[in-house]
Amino acid sequence: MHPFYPLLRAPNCEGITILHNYAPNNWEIRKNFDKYITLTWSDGAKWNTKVIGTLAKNKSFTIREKDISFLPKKTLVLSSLSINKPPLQSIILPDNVDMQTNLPEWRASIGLENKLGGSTSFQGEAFAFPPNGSLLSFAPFLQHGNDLCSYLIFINIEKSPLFRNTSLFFLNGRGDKIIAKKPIISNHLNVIKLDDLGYDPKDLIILFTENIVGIPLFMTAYKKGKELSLEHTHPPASFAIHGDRWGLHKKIKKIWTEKFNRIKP
Amino acid sequence: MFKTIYKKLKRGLWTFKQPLSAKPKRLNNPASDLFIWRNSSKWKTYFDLYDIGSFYSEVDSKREVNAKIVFYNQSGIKINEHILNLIPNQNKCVDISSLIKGEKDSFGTFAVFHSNVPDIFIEHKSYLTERGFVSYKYNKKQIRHYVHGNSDAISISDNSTYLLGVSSILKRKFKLQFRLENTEKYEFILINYTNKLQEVILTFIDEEKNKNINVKKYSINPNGCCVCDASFSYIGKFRLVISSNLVMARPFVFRYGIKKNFFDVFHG
Repeated sequence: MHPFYPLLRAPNCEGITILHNYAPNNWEIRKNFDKYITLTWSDGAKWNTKVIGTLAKNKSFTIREKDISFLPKKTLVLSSLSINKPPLQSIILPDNVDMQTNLPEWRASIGLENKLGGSTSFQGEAFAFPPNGSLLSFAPFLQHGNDLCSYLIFINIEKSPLFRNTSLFFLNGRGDKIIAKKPIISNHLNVIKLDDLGYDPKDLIILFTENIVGIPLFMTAYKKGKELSLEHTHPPASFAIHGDRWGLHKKIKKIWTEKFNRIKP
Repeated sequence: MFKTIYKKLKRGLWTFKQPLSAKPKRLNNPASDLFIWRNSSKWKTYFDLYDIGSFYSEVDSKREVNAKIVFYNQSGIKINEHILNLIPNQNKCVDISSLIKGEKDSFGTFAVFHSNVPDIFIEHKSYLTERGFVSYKYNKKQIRHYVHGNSDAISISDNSTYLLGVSSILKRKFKLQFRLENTEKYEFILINYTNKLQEVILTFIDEEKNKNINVKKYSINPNGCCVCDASFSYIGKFRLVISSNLVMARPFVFRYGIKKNFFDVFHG
């Protein structure tokens, strides 16, 4: 599978993604090439791709929101690097197996900036998620305080370009109460304000979905962006090392699905 | 076909019997990443702590559970430990700086070991591990900046900790896929999660000319860490390559704006 690097979006912030044309290690890929810089987005019926330039070996390239002003607002834009020119339109997300690494993945710097001075980023990548998968995620990130506001940025990418409407549930830490149900759309960057949901500082946020998988990013801003913080949650599989981690992953998903089914509206 | 076999053989030199970390000694031994603490008038460190084991229970347990936090200084010497009781399904944002009094203007590593290891982990021959999240407040800023751990580093048995990280026979390069700029300042913190003294070489390379502009060398004791800053004057964009025998020399990056006055932290 081919890694994509989304351009983020959040209130009072500008998304910034910096692509890097050098491998993260010296042993998985020994020979590098100049690459096409591409932007890919769905219009709900097909995937569209535009080549916006080429990136020489050992160079980096910055993409900002102004570079995608030709697209409708709220479009999820996926940047990538490719040796081959991808198709301009396709009914399945373009895939390319060239120049991949695994340890670690070939990453980009994905972040947010604000004119008041805030800047934050993480090293990341995204792949297409299976449709109808479910998500369980535990998040401790909610920060409370004067002039602080927090958002969840939920990014979903699927191979199909269709926009599916579904729901993201916010549960309490015990999993016996639904705190909120929020509409989300596949192949979108969904932004949800967290401050009004009623979680208190001791609460863990439990995210649960029945038929969509995504990357949950949590952003906190002070005074509309003077300071910014951004981090992603781990999947429950990260609570275990070695052995049958995926067996454990299935078990925890089963436990929380049963909890959810007892309180499902 | 021959090309594929050749590629696999070449890759095998680096990956054959090369795990990222060793298995803990016993199935009920919890594991932890090694996290960074920083403590000074400018730094406050926090850790979000919750009982991971309770997520695997269908019903709430009445059993008292806790987590042991073990602190090391930058040289890898144990300086302190604390046991904190946990309430199932609740988050506790621990003020790490308050637990390491007496270590002013300093930094080091810490690990978090959970007492509650559900039987299901043992049934799956797996080990419960703490991966984070640690957060920092810098220079009286208002928000905590989060970063998760990035190494399955350490375990504990009979109150004695032991490292899980392994070394590589071949020298490896970790190339940080991040553009460094002279409008920002950086500190790179590297952890030694192996039982051997590790030497790391940080090479800063100009993006335009692809030439080395600065090289820094450090030795890191087991359990310890080093801070490397990019405090050389250079106008332009550059990148960082870390050479060492660590399988994954992924640094924690502390990033500061010069003109914009921001702070950010992430891992490579």
